[in-house]
Amino acid sequence: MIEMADTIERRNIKNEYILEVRNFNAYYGEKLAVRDANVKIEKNKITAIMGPSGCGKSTLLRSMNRINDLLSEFKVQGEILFHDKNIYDPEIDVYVLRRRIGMVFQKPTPFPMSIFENIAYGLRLIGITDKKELRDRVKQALEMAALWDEVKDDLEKSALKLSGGQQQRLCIARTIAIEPEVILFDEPTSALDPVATQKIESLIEDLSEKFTIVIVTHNIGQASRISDYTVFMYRGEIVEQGPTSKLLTNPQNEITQQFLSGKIG
Amino acid sequence: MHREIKDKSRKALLAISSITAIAALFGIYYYLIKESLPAIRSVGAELFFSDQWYPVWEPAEYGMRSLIINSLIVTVLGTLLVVPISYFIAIYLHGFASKKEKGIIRRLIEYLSGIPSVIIAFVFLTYLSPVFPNIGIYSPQNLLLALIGLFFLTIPISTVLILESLDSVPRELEESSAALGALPLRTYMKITTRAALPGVLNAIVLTANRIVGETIVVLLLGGGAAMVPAKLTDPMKTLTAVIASEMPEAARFSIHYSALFVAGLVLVLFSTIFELISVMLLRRSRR
Amino acid sequence: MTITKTNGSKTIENKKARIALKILTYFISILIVFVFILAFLPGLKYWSWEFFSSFPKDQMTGGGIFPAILGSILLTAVSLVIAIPLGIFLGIVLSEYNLSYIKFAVTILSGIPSVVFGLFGLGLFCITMNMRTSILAGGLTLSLMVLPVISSSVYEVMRSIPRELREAAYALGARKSEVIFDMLVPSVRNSIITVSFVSAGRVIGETAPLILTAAVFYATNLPKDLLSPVMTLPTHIYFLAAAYGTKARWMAEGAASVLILFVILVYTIAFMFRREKK
Repeated sequence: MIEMADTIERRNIKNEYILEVRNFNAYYGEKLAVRDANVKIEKNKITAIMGPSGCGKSTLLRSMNRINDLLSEFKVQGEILFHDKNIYDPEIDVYVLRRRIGMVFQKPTPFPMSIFENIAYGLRLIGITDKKELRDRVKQALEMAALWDEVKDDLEKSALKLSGGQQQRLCIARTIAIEPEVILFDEPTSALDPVATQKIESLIEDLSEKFTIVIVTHNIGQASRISDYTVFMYRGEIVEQGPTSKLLTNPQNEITQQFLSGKIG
Repeated sequence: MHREIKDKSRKALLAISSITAIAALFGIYYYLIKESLPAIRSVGAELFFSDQWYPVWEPAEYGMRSLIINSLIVTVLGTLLVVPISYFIAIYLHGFASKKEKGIIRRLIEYLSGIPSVIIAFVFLTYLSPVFPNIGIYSPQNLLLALIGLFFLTIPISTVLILESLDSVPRELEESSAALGALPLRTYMKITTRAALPGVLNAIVLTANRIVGETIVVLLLGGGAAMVPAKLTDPMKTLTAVIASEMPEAARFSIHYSALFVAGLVLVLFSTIFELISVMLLRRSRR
Repeated sequence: MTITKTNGSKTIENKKARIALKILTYFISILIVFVFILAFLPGLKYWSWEFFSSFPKDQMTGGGIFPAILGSILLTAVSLVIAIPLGIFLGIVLSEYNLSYIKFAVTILSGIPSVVFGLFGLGLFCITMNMRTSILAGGLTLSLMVLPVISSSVYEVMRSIPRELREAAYALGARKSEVIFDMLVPSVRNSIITVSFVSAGRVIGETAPLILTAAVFYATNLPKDLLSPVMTLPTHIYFLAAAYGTKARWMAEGAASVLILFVILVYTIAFMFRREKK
């Protein structure tokens, strides 16, 4: 593992909570997008954040790797703890944070370069320059993302020429190449066809052995298929949360019930 | 009936405008070639291979090679000067500036783009040109002064074109780079610029075209010598400057007159090549 | 608990980059402001009623710039009256009819140097069509020069019309020309006004083509018709700067201030119309 100087110790936790959201509020300007959120994300599990569009689930997810910082007028209140340290503390180096909490976006975003360079980009960021090591790690990442067999014959091909599903798996490979601890998925399959979706879902399930996964989805089926724990949000608030099987079959809250039965979407 | 007439007359106007554009293009080429022929026939290859441009001497000589080289020098140096600076200004405005900053500075630059070239030339001629003799430089108008004037003339188009290209890159692409822990400058220079490359290259080409076609700034600030400058502080004249300064005096239909049309023809060739490159680049960006 | 405004610009490296770029940008911006100031302020002291209303006198050491102001206005008017309607129609052709050769022609035309338009105007209008040095020749030349600029801008404006508006218009059963002129063009009326004003700003400041086709250094009388030569503000400044040295500098400064004021006014109006009122 690469040594990175920052102020959060990497500890080997077993069955603890790697991320904790505490009394968290998020504002776009004056508008409150997430209100008083409290969630604990368990290590090596898949946590789904679900809800109708506009409910704040993406905002909450994007706050976890501080990618929302890029937007002007974004303000927060409360804490998000990563290994028990608040990531919004001014001491935190946000660039190092983002290498430990990675993100895959809704639309596949291959860089306008070759497949190899796409993955090498992140590796170079963490200081790997040796050609052999780059090649090995690129191969590793592509294998783990179930893409290696499809592209191994031509890594110099432009990533833009891949199909949508392949591009998304490339983005996943790019993220896992730098070995983060957590991977955030923001509706990763909503732009893909069912076949590609299925491939990515099973990939995510495999990845949860090594990584902690948080996935935002508006698709109830997807949450039930792959997640261990589900958080349901509505209009900026976490309405209900619990183990997926329990939440989906026996929701306690009325709004949850309405969402699950399709009355609100 | 009424509807028919309206429809037909509108279509006629659309056709007229199209025909005008095409006729203008062919007309320009036709006229330039037609009026160039006398000089090409009587002076021949010497036009392009000789450095001796003495159209009003006896015997007159019409060698415009140094003028052509000067036009190219000014274009290359001017572009090399403007583009990197405007690139970094565009990067700042695109990724680091606040909305307010970006708006104000962009507005300032857009106002600058409206200043007539004669005024820019006049300002630098009045205030900067006299400085040269004071610091021991022989020629108060020279290549350097012209480049400075060209810099302020072209910084608006270069910056705005590059900025628009950068701004048109989808936000998710930049976020993907940031999500890997990349610092903002690296994201903008490696990812955003790469994605916006056709637009950025187009900005370079259009800037070069603007410079090669500029007349007044190089005329007033460049000095009067139809010789290739040996150093930055030497005076020099370009094809455009020669046309503007000598045509009003040239006798109609003389060889001098025709030679100036040859200069115009060379300019049109350059600008056509630039525009063709631009078209190819824009086609690339559509893919 | 405090609300923290977030801005991931923690690391020193990022701060250094940001500061360096900021310094560059502000430095150049300040220089630009300087150029504006030097162009505008020194001439203000020469502004007077006499300056605006009289002819130049005493070898440019006295009098005013009235004929140049008038000439500029006339020339601008003539060229825009031709170029704006043509440019709008051409822009519509470019965006609504997919004819690649016209797009191509306009692109090539837009790159041609202004002085070459001057040569063309000289050859065609002044000599062949025997207009000599005149407002008409200059106006026609300028209108050809600014035509590709206007049409490209109109093209961009038309292209930016949302697809739904277009589809809705056709769905009403209108013909193509009706859709274009009765529905699409009015929806971008403000943008077209912006384009017109920007092109006016461009035309007012043109020098090189007019030196060859319309402008004279000193006109003893006002132009009596479209076939008379004129003085214009930019050509006057050019002639003064090129030939007259320091004695006439005052007049060039005064004229430059007037010209800048015109341009700033025109551009400000253009910016005002940028946003379409919904």
